[in-house]
Amino acid sequence: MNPSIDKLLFTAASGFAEAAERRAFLEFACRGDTARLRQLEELLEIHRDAEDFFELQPEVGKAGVSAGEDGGLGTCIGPYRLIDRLGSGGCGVVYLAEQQEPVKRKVALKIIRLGMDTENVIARFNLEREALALMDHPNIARVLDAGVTSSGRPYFVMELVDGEKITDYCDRKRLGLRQRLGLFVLVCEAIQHAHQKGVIHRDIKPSNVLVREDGGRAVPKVIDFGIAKATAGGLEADGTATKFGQLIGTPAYMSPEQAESGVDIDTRSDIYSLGALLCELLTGSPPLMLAHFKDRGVEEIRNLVREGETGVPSVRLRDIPTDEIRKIADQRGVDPQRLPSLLAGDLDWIVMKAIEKERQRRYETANGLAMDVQRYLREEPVLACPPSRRYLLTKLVRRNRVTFAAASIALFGLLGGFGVSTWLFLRERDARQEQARLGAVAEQATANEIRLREDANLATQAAVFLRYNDVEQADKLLDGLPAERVPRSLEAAKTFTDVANWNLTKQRWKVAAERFYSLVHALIGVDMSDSERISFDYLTAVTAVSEWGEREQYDRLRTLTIERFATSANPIVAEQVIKATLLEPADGKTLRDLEPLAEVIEASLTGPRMEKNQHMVAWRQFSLGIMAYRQGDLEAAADWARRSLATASNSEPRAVSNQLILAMIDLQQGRTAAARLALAELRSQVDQWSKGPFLVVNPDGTRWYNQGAVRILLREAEAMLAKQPD
Amino acid sequence: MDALTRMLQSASGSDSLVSAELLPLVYDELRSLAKKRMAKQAPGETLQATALVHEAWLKISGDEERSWSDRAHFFRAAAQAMRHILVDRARAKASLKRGENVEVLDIQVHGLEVADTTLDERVLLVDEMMSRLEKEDPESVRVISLKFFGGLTNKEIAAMDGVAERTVERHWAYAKTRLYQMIRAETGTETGDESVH
Repeated sequence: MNPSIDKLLFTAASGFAEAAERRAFLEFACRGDTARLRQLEELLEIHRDAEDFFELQPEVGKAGVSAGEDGGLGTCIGPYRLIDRLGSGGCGVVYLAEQQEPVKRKVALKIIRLGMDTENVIARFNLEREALALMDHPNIARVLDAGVTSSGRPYFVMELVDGEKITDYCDRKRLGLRQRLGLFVLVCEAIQHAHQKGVIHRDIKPSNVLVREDGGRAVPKVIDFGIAKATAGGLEADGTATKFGQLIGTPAYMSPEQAESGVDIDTRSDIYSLGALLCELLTGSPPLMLAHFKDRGVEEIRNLVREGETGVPSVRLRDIPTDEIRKIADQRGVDPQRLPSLLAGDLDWIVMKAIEKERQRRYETANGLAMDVQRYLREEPVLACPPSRRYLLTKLVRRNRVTFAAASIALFGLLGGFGVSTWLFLRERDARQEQARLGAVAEQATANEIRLREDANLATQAAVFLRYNDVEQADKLLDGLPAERVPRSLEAAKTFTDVANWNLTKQRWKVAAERFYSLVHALIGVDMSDSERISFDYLTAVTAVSEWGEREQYDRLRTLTIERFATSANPIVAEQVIKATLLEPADGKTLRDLEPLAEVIEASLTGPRMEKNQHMVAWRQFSLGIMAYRQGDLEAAADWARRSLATASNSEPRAVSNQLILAMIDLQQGRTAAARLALAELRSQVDQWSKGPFLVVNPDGTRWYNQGAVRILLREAEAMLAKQPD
Repeated sequence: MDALTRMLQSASGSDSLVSAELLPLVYDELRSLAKKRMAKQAPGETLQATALVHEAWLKISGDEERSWSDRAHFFRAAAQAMRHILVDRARAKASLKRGENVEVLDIQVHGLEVADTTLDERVLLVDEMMSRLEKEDPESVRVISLKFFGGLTNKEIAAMDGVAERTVERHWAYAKTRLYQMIRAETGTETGDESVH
């Protein structure tokens, strides 16, 4: 048996989401070779088990939980220790976990099961991390963190919600319709809050709305914000691993536009899901019954969601068998005969308006939906249906039942006509104004979301241009993207680095500096470890901005760099940060902030674990030299610079940098003549470098920024010399 | 670029790097590998990350004059060393439990659900099957060694081999399934139904 062919077929076959298609493919591919066919089918069948076996987290929940020697529980993922398994869903397993640091607390940790592209999941999540952080609402469970398990699966950490599925809760408590609606309004308000922060949930369904009791009051919490979006399948052309992901969401609660493409989604998609949830709370099942989706392929499900007829809730009840109805009515504490008539009318209309297939006909906002439910609860006219005069009248009569009972119909006929219609007009106007206001709010939220997405698209498109070596196009695309809006991901950082370097080779210094400035913004919040690779990017960017960018930009980058790396314990990072941030004179606070890093460097030069590579030692000595110089400790500065010169002589830029420090010290201490001589010599040396073409990477493998940093220091020294009296 | 790569690259010239000079440089990397490896162990596990590093180090640097051509070379050796150590430990523990000297690996999980095996049993099973698979499919064995014993992520392996992460992911998906199939055949695990997923 040839493993490489097996591997190929295995990979290809696992790309088929539907068993029938997969089988057809395998039969075609293995024509005649039944042994191979059997082998591949077995592999595909045990694929998931194999994953579990290697994840070292055996399936618990059946018998294993109490055994206590389970390998899965008790293990740590990042700072989280798994305590118990809470459950598993279509896309992952949820654990109860304990966070160890910085605070000890219990959290819910969800490990995504799909064989999806981990890096993209995390990148997509990071894109939204900031927006998620802005959400602060008592009915929203916060997503606290995301990361990658050691086996490469993405995981999400959420506030732990100790509650039960909203539908289960309502049924168990036998909540009546009004109580259910009250809970539903809270859910809508939570979603509205998220929408205002530019976050769309995308997977609202009963199991994502948990209810717990707090002081006898039912408090719903919406969980999993941001996760559906992060795990939504990428639309890579080769749909091998992501094919499963394309239909993320639960068909019964998924809006038609989401089933259709999953791309052009806005807040109104959530409105649809809310409508489906409301329908289930009222009638016991979502508009499209779960049974419809069983054993169907992705394409069939799509069609069903898109075209499927969603009957009016109260009418649909008629098709349900009597004993089923009895149960549903019982769970709602109402008489089975009365249930349809309770739903008929307003509640039907509210649900139908929320789940309109065309999104522009749905409620504009979650708040709009909530308000209509509240109007119903207060027995005021709802907006869900174009109100006929007769409808308004019956509404009014019911609401003011007591008054109306006291007054006679005749009186109403005589006096009521004018007053009532005026009053209705005013109410209508208020409602419309409120809707308009919320519409604007929603528009803003949608705009934010669209903007975030567009920015991400822009960076992705630029990356595509780069892949085809069309740097110019990529550069043009990124030109319109302000640094603050740069997507935060390694992918974006890579794109900006490439484009910046390209501009350097074109000698478009100012543009290059702009790109480098954006590069740092792309790196905010990305890979927060002590990574030298990242601090190296900062060093390069800061040098470029110092040389060719704006003064404020350098200051901004300096602040960002120190904020990010101030607590690093990695001497290489420390050296790079000090070199970058002290290219220009610094104030007392900056210097104080850098002190811990200087200590890290000093410590790396002595003791049993001391740095042995002389080239690196010399760079660290130089960085301590410039630190001392900026601090005004000229003696120490001179000492470090001399030691650096003595340690190794393999880098011309480093030698010149050290001599520049010494020359500036000479100037400060009045040895002007010596300094003048030295600077003239150094200037001619540096000018030699610029004779050749500009190189991003020097022949010896070092980068341009070494020379760049020298030029910056040289200018500082020359300016100092110019100010000296002759 | 990190110190190790820089060193390994600069060492590509005449005087290549010998093990003794490498330790201070790779110490942190080894430690993080070991930590990743240990993170999967139960808290009661006696083998500590640092100890694993030192042991792994002793194993791969046994020959003081040994030199490393590149990063990939080094990590392959590190993963291999960790494999040996973990297998030795698991064997020792297994024999301690049974109070006998297990010369020939005797897999004790016949008829058991694979999911119920302990970590040590898994280590032994994986090791055994890797040896058997070596001849038929060395590439898969290599991926398993780096992932399961070395604790490297797909990304790290991709960077090391200069291939796309997705490629590593595919290799790994196939390799672990194939190996698991062998384990199942060996332990006689019934075909479980997929009801949970």
